[in-house]
Amino acid sequence: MPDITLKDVTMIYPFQKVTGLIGRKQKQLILKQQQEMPYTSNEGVIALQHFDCVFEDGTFTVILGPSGSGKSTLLRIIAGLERPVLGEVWFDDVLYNDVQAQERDVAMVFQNYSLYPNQTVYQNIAFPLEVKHIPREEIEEEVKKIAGLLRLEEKLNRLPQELSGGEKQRVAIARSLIRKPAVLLFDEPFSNLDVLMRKELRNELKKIHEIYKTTFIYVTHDQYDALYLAERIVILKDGIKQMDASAADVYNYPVNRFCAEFIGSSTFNLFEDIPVSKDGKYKLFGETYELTNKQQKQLGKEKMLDLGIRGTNLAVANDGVDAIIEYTEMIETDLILHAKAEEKEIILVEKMDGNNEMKYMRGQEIRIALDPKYFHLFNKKGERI
Amino acid sequence: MAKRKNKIKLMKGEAGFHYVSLVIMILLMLFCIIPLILMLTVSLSSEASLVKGYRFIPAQWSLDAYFFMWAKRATILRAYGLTIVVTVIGTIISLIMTSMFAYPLSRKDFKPRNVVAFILFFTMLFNGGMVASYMVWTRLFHIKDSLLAYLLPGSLMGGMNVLLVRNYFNANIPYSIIEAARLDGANDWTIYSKIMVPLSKPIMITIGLFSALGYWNNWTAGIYYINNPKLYTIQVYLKKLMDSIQFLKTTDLSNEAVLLASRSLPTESARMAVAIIALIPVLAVYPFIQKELIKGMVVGGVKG
Repeated sequence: MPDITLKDVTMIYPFQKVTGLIGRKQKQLILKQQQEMPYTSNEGVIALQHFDCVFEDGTFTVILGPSGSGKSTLLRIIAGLERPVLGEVWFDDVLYNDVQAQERDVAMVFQNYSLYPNQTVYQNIAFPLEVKHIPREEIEEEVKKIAGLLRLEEKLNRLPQELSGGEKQRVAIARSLIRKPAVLLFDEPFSNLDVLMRKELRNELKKIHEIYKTTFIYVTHDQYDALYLAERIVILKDGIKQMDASAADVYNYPVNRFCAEFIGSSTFNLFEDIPVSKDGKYKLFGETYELTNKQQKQLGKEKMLDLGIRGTNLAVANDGVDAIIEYTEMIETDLILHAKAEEKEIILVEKMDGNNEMKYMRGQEIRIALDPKYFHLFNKKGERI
Repeated sequence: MAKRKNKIKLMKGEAGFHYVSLVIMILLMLFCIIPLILMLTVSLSSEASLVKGYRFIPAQWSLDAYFFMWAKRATILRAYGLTIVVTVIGTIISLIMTSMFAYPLSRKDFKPRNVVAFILFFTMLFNGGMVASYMVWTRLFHIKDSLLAYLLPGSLMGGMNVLLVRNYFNANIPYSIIEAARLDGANDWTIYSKIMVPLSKPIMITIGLFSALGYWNNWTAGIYYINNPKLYTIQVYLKKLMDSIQFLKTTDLSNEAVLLASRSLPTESARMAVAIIALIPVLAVYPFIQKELIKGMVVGGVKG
């Protein structure tokens, strides 16, 4: 199975041509709207910019980013459904820019399942082998094997419209896996499913990766999918790669403010525009902290920083910042406390006690311990210092 | 228990619109059905009673027209058989060609699709004209006095049908299905034959019916290109019959015997009887495909 290397890949979607019987003013308005999109050039909207990455054989990589960040474009370029305007796509030592999608040995699972509605589950799963003219007995054996793995044995004679969303996605995964592709691409496959089904399929996907050891590239905007599934996470924003690291590193050492906020966003506390003195000292909730020399250099001329700290790195303690709980949320065994200290909102995550009883109530006064080793410091350009 | 009235109440404006449209639809329906009824009653009238004009209830019932056709059954059955052969073969070829033309036009990755669509559209508006077409078909393709004369000119593939099928493909088959098939290793022929065509049943039935009706009712090709009476289809036979009757009516016949014989022929009623017989297959098939036909029309017609 090949390693996939992307070198300096750039994708620009041309501006939509405005034609038809509409007024000149309306045409101009549409053109203006297109040109005002975040990243544009004279040719069109830039979906991906100078993207470099190597996907090693057998790894599970998650491409994470908000809507419009270019992650699906990246997947389509690897699949051969789009041709980049710049850059190269290599499968091992072979340049694949001009290789057609059907010749790439790449399979893809789509968000909307993309099953063939006129074919039964069996026919859908068997389709990739049928087009390769594999003998019927062999196809039957393979379909049964993969249907067993994905718990679809009972559904083989059904049509896709008779299946639930989760079952449809299982069929799509089975269809992609049956011909043992070199790379399996997932384009937000679980976005249409409910929370429980997502969780179930996430577990199954992880097991499948263990069994098949194929290269998995999984695109999502969901940080939980990413943190659960990935050995490695690549974060994209506006078509530019922001970070490429292990799940733990992305969580613990985000390279910039965007990555820090995007991962664990629901419990990430950000305190903006904290002034830094000439000798590199700054204050948070009355406590004084100090920047290292290196950090001071990285801070730049503005002498202001943004400080972030995750709710999981904060704790209720006997000593610390005085705060009042405004409201609480319970998520499984986690209790999310929304508190206020010195007019600033702080979110912290506490584990429930053994009896799962609520220790904290609305209006309760608490003290929050801040540990500077968990501080994420960013300069005003958003870079980590 | 009192029976509850389950009527939907219409608002004032809505009710007016509802009744006006009902009246218009009934009128349109009558416009369609009255000629059919008249055709049937005329075919069942005696020739003498038709001298005074057509009537919805025949003044004198007669099956002479059908007896006349029974006497001519060998010719009529041959023409009938030929019409069925032409219609079946023509419709199948037409469906294959129309859908194969529409498929690349529906593909986003087929770059010249707009140019091709324009050329197609152009042929819908302009063509070479009658004389040029006749010369091309007879001198280049040599279709005179052959079955190809019914199959080839004009009706193999209509631009309108191609656009209808293309629109159906675009509006009803998600593009990601085509992409999934490509990634599964399918080539264009497999995608077309195993995915696009089976998923397009309604529009295929619609186009098939249009095409079959076109072939079934096509009499001009026979008039232009066919001289051999053995190659007459039912419509051409009907046309020739009408021409012969007209000839007998308008010619000053000096031979007394021929004159008498021509007067005893069921001319008007025979015309209608042949028309009724030509109509039977269409009337027989239509109710079974009506639902799919409407579906195909509605979906294929949206999005230009």
